Amino acid sequence: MIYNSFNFLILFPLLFMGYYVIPVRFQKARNLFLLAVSYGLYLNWKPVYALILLLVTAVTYCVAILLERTERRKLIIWVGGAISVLPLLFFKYFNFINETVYGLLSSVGLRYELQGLNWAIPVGISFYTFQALGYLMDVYYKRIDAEKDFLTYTLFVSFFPSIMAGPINKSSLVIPQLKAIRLYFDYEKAVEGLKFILWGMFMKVVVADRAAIYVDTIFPNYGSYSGLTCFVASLHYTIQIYADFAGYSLMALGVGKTLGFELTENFRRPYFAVSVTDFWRRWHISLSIWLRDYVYIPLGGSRCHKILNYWNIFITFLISGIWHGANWTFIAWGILHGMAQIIEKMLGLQKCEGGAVMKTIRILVTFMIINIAWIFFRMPSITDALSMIGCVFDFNQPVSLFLDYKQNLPYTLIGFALLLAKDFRDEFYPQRLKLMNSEKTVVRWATYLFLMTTILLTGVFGDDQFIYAAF
Amino acid sequence: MQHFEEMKKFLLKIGLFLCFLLIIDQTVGAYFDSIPKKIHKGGVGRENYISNELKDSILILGSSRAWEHYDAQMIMDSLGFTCYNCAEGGRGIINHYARLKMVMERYKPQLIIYEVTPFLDMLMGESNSRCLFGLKPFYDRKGIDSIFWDIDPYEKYKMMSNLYRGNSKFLRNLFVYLTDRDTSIGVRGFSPKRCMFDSLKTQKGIDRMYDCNYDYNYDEVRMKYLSLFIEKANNTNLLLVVSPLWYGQDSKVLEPVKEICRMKNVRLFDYSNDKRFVHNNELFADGLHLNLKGAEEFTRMLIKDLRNLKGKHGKFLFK
Repeated sequence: MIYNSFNFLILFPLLFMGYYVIPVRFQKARNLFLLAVSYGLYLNWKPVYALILLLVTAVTYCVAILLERTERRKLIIWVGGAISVLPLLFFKYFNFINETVYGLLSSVGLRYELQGLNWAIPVGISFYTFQALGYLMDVYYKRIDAEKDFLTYTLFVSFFPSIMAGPINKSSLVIPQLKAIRLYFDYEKAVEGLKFILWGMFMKVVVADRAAIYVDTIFPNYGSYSGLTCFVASLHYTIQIYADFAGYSLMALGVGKTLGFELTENFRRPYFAVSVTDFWRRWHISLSIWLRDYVYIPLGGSRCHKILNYWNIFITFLISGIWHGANWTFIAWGILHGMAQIIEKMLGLQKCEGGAVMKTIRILVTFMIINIAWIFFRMPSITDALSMIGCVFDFNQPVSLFLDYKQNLPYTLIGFALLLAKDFRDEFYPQRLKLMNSEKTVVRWATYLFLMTTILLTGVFGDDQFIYAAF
Repeated sequence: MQHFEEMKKFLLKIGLFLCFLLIIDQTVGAYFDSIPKKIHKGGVGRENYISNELKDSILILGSSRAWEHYDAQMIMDSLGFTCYNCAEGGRGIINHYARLKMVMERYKPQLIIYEVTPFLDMLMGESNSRCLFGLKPFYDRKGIDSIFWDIDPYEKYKMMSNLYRGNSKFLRNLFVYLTDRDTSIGVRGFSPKRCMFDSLKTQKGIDRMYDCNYDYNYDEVRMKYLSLFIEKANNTNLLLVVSPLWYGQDSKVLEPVKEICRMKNVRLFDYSNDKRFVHNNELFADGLHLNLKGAEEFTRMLIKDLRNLKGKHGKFLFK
């Protein structure tokens, strides 16, 4: 479900009413309703891809049960895991692998090309595959029992608030909630959920989509702009990707909360990190936890020789890069993050023990490293990424800055300022200046109305906004 | 029972929130929505002038290539008929159709000149929602709302909100209204590029131009609005023009519009490959836009051809 779409405004109240119309004693019926909605929404994108979702669900369900009944657990987990990951590899990475192999063969004079796929990638496949794999591995490591109820498990994998873009939930968090006798309606949770949706919508529509207008003007034509403009565009992208992803995750959490569910927190003010290591405790937390629990620790984690530990970090972030996309740019991005953490570990820089000044410097330096790394994430090729970075650091060019100060910039600044103010307060003064959580009703309501008004006045709701730069 | 009460409380509070929002929308939103109508200077003032007051005999419409290429004062002085450059950058045929519709509600110009820009008016490209940019203040005008709904059916509901109508414009409008400072409209709407030739930008744009023979993908919606535009404008005298390009242009891209012109008996003046202009750095600011000198040369050339232009009645329009 796209939370900032008009459809969401109509659909969600109906889902909400439909869910709560079912009396609480019919727990199974409530779960069935959520399952029907989850699959109904998924079928709405592309019906045949719901079969892929069902396949991954069925395979991991069966393998988990088998794991509890067999002695050959290692073989079963490898086979089951491989089958579960196959659709992800096929749909997301086939073309990339095909082109890479073709490129390598061509370089040695062998020309053998397989036909590429012209199929869309099933929505959310990276997320639900990892979620299901995580469950499987928890069963393998005997952290949890295999879920016997197929409907409950299917709902866990396909749960609509988080299937499209996360968070990647742990089965130990969600399945007990699905099986528990829930309250008919949890007022506090529902109100909290609406606050999450409101702030998440603000982040997405006011901050992220606004920044995207500038990013989409500069990045594809970076060669036509000065280094300073490219740098400012990279800053815009850094904010855009955070506000977009975190905003969306927050809305997913909010939707879950209004229905009485707690999902995994996914972002915790990542740009206030004092190191890249710290960044990964604040950014896409559900993925970080997944990689830690199912890649890093099984490889040996930090309980091994130093060199092996560095290797484990490298492999973990290589996989992170690959997970993010089928392009060498994502792999380069992942490797950059891995290397940064290895260097921090070597130099003992994961944490910051200094005072406010040192902390500020560390935050700014970390932010700059992350900012430069995002250029790889955004660009279509490594050459373009390096070229743009070269442009940013070319101090011989004249200093000029392209900004749409009449139209776009004021709204960008409003969004950035409000986001920075809230994150700053949450990070350093969480008990002060409570607005959405104020004890005074007037303050809370004024804040909600202010945010909603700002969303309507400054949000980006379609493709009608652009910077008149090229034409 | 307690939870039913909590649900009731929850729904009531949502209802109350929506009521407060509605009040803000009807007060603050309505105020922001009313501001553009009160502005008489700058870009917004120009839009208001074109939509509400303009009564010039010759109108020029089109993208920035029209805005920066057609010297309306020179045309007026040479031909003896009032002329106004109504062009607007980056908007496309759908937007210009809406503006033409508003003008022709009030009167029939003697001649409408439309600068055809294939990648904005005909070919598939960026979202057509871009064409709605700048039209929101005129949504309530006759026939304009249906254009919005045609491009995006949800606009019907979004435009019920006054706050949404002021979206992304209210700050600029407020600033212009309170300070009366925006003077960016040029002389009779003409706003030329007063800069030297940018060879780097031109070189970068070269792969955007369609100067090779391949099948073009035309946007159905844009072609529909181009036909509607021609039909509407052809109630008076219409002239389609393609002004010079530094790159030149593959004339094949204009085939569909040439076909419409043949069917509707509309003249098309295609200067895109004029040898005096192609690759002439002195006359261009970049690959797509003439500079001031180029615009003056082009306007002089156009005026010469306009003197020989005959109207629907078979007589010369400007002799």
